[in-house]
Amino acid sequence: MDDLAASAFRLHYDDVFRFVRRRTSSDDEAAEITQSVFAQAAARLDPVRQGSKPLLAWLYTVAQRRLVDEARRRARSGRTLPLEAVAESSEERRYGSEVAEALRAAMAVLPALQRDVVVLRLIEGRSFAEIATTLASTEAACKMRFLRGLAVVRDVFEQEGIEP
Amino acid sequence: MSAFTVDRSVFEQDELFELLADDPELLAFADAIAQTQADARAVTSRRHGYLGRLRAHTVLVVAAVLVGVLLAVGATLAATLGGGFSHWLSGTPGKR
Repeated sequence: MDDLAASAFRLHYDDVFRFVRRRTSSDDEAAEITQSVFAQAAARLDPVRQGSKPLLAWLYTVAQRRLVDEARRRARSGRTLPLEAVAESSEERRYGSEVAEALRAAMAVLPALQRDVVVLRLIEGRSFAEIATTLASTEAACKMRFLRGLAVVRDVFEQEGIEP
Repeated sequence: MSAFTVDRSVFEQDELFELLADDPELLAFADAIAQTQADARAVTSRRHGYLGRLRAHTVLVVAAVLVGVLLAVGATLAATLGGGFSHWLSGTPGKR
């Protein structure tokens, strides 16, 4: 691993591991995927550094793709869940309901216009162009409301001590 | 924690990625929220699918029971009226 990759590893390993861990069922699996993310990053780090995307955002994207690959590989192999993963599913349900509750609390404190944009963009997956038309606004204004609204939602999650 | 499901992630939506790339933590947060909601929708959809199938099965069973009851009543009437059930239905007298 060259200096750049080693530096990225030191700086961002914990962030990427947390990101992956939230989307996997065990520490071992998360560590394995995180290491593969940095292995892939080591080979492609220079062009990324020249580009406009911040390194951590790019590492998250690589991690996301590795997770999708892993999920597809599992689906193809028809691998069955280990016992501990079955036990964890109830924990996942509890986690999901905590997130849903925190999300409801966050939505309650958001101004209506920010709430509409966050829900339409993040939950319903509409484009900013569609949202601007729906809300009789501009794309730029909708993006600004989305950023502000999302930051408020994150603050509420932090106050509740929930890390999605 | 959330089980990962293959869905359209925030990372695959250029519009959101470009908007949030300068704040990777907010980007990851947005993705986690979107993913959790997608998981919840998938669970709801599966549950609705199960309830729908259950309702369809119930309707089929009730319909089968009704047909059975009607056939039994018809057979009883036919036996009671002798060969004249078809005549009884058509309003003409049959033999007793």
